[in-house]
Amino acid sequence: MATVALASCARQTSRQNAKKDATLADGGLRIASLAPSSTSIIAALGLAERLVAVDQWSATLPGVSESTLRLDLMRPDVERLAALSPDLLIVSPLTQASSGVDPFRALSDSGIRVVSIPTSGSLADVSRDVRAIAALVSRGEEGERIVADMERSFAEARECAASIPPEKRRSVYFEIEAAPSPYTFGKGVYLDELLEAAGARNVFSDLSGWVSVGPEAIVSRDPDVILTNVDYLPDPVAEIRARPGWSGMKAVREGRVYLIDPRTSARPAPELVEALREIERAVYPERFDE
Amino acid sequence: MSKARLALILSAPITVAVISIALCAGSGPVGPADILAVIAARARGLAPHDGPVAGIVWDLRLPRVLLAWIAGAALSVSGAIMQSLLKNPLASPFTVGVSSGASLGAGLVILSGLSLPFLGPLTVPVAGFLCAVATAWLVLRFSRAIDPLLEGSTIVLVGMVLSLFVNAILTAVSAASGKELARLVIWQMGSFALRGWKPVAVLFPLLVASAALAFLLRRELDAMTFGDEEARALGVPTIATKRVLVGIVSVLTGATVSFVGVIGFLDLAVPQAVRRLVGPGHRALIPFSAIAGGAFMVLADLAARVALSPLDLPVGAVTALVGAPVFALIFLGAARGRI
Repeated sequence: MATVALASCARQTSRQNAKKDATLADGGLRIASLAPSSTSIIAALGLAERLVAVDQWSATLPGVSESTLRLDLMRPDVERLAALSPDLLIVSPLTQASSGVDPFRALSDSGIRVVSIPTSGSLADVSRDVRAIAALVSRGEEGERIVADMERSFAEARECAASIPPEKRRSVYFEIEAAPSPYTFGKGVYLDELLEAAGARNVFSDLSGWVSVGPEAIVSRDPDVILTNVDYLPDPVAEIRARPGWSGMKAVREGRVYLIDPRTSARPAPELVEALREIERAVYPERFDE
Repeated sequence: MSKARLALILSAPITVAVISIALCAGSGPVGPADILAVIAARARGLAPHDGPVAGIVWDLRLPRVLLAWIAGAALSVSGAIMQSLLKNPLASPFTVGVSSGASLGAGLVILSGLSLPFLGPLTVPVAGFLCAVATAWLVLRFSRAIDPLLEGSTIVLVGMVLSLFVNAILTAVSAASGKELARLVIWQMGSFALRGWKPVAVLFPLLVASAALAFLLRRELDAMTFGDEEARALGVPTIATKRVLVGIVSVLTGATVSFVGVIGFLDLAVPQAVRRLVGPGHRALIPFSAIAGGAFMVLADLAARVALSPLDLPVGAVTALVGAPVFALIFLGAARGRI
């Protein structure tokens, strides 16, 4: 089999291949993806060079060629998509919800295979998505291997975290949107599962889903560590440390405010394995010093 | 006793009560005793630093409540002035393009990632303020060019057209931007959270000065409610008065919106309700618009903070959600002659 098995290797190869533009000459599957997490999975399956069009958030993923057509996730240019006539178009409910009607009706009517992958909430959903997309592009075996790798990494982290005594477990506030309306998450979100796998305790585990929480609630729950994956500020860590009223918080006093790479943590996709490693190192740096 | 006199006597204790209630309520475990202790320590020049309580009281809750009061007062005083000035019940400071101007100024700074060295994080509100005032000035210039008498309907029309134009510039520019758009959307949703003391220190003197100036011009405003011709017959320089008042309103709301974002409903509804309660005379209308607007905004923000605690709701949604039924009752009561 031509493609390599491991997810990390797959990323390397596709990054090299992305430079060459003539990769479609073999008549292989031409894929368009309007969902960043699906694009990630396609790249992990080693098929980044088969992408002919992606949404703007997918365009910066490793392996996606700069020359790939960029479309707007909310308002894709359906005419240009039709002109490209990909064999497979992967979309998410995000695009459909914004317009009320199925914007891809004309494409599916004209024979393009349009598949909508629901936005994942949990780590189990990510495995489900990898299997579903692998099946769509006839890479079932690679899909199984990626899922097995992911689940092994998560299991290893949990095993490692099990040795942390309960009184040494650190509490964490993880921010996905900054002031003045901080957003975080409770149960049922893959990031909460990552915190748990890392042996950390989410200070908002009494809530569920993505939530906008009051600054006062965050300050009074006084977490040991603050994590952020905000990607629209020049320095989100400095912004958190400079917030009025936050200087008395334990995490700020002890300098435990860290950035988690949004490229690995903002999408429910196989690279969450890397986000988990970053979280483990940020929350328990002393365990990873050696 | 006249309604206005009764309202005046009641307004001081009501304001104190509303601010105290808002100070005592919140998601953090902070009671009235903690609040008094922290404020007393601060008054003696001490900065207590034992855990998060002092931060919650002094840096989060107190400036948030005061900023809500100031913004509420500023927006409803400005609304009252604009409604009288333009003789239009739907007029507000936003009619002369203040909010779209502020959004464009702040938006251009956010989308370009610009940060001036001596302004730092204040670059966004300063740019928002300058564009807000510039937009209002342009509205006045165009209105004057079209209509030398500067009639209210001309200002409303020019204001609407220019607002749409300015909004369109921002929409066109932001369509080409990526992740900075999130910052812009968040900026545009009004909020009093995590603003600190700086906006309070800037906006409070501005509010006092603007309200005092408008109060000095109360007779001119009264005369202009009857119509520009009548006002001119009474010796009021209508054009100059309009320019001064639009200037005051655009500076006050421009500064407010630049610090806290756009919060609607209040600028429209509070002055209307106050008019029904104390009558159209500006001697009562201006101070009571400030007092009622401040109290209303504090209560709306309180609801946003505690209704679903620890969740924070957008205060702009709460003002209309809670406000609309309350104002419907006031208007119905006034229509039936009960108030």
